Amino acid sequence: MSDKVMRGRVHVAAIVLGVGVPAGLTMGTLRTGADYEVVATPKQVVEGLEKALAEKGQDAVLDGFVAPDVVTHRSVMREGAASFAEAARADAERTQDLPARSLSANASLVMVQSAMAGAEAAGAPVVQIYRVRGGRIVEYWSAQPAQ
Amino acid sequence: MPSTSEMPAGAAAERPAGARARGWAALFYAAQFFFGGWFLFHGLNHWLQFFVQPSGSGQGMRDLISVLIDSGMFDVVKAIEVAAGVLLLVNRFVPLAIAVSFPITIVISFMNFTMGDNFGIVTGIISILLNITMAVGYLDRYLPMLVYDAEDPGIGGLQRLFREGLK
Repeated sequence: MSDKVMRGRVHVAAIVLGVGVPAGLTMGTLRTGADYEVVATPKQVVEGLEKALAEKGQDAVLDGFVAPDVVTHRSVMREGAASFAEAARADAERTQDLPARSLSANASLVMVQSAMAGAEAAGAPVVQIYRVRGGRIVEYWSAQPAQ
Repeated sequence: MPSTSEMPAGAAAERPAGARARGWAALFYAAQFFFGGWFLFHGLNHWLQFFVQPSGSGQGMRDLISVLIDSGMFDVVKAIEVAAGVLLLVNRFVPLAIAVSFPITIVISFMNFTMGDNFGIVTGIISILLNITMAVGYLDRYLPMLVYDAEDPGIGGLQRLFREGLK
C-alpha cells in the first residue's frame, strides 16, 4: 500500500473519530433540570404572548407566559397574573391593526413601540416594556396617552 | 534491518528524533481533529438540531445567549464554527482556522469561567487548552506575525499572493 493511500485512510479515520468522539461526549453529557432548562428568549416569549392573545384571547395569557407574581405598571401598579392578563388584553385591543410597530430586545427587557388605534387618539405613540426571566414575563410597563 | 551499531552515527541520532516528532504531530493532530469535530458538530446543531440548544447554566449566560440569538449574531458565530471545523478536519488552511477559532473559544471559556457551573468551567478549560495546543503545533506559521517592529506596510504581500497564489 502506498504511503499516499495510507495517509488518506488515516485521515478519513481521523475525521470519523474527530466528529464521532465529541458528538458522543456531547450527547452523553447533555443535562436536564432546572439549572439547565431550555427556555425561549425574551423576544420569543413576547411574540408568543401577542400571538396567543390574538388567537385565543385573554385566558391564553395565563397559559405559560407569565410568572404568578408578575408586576404590572399602568395607571396603578398591580401584582398577579390575572391583573397582567387584563392589562395585556386591553392594551392589545387599543393598539391592534396598526402597521407602525417595532419590537426590540435587550437581554431580559423587550420593548414594543406601536401607536394607538381608535378614533380619538389614533396614531399616538405607545410604549410597552416587558421584563422576562426564565421564559416568563415578570414585569410589565405600559405608557400611552390617557383616554 | 541494520542494527543501531551498523548505522551511521547521524542516522542513529535521527531515529529517536523522528519518532519524537511523529509523537508531537500525533498529539497536535489529535487536538486538531477533536476540536474540529467538536466545532463542526456544535455549529451544525444550530440548524440541524441534533440536540436542543441549551440556554445556558446561569441567568447571565441565558441573557447573553438570548441576545445573541435575537440579534442574529448567533447565526454568524455558528457559521464560523462550521467553517473552521471543516477546515480543521480536512486539514486545509489550518493556521487560519485556528486563528479564527480563538476569539470564539475565548468567549465560550470566559462565559463558562464567570457564569458557568463546574461542568462549564471544565469545558472552558479544555476548549482553551485545545486551541492553545493547536496554535503551538503551528507556531512556526505564526512567527512572521510576531515581530516587534513590522516596518512599513506595502502591497508586496498582495502582489505575492496574486503571483504565487495560495499554497
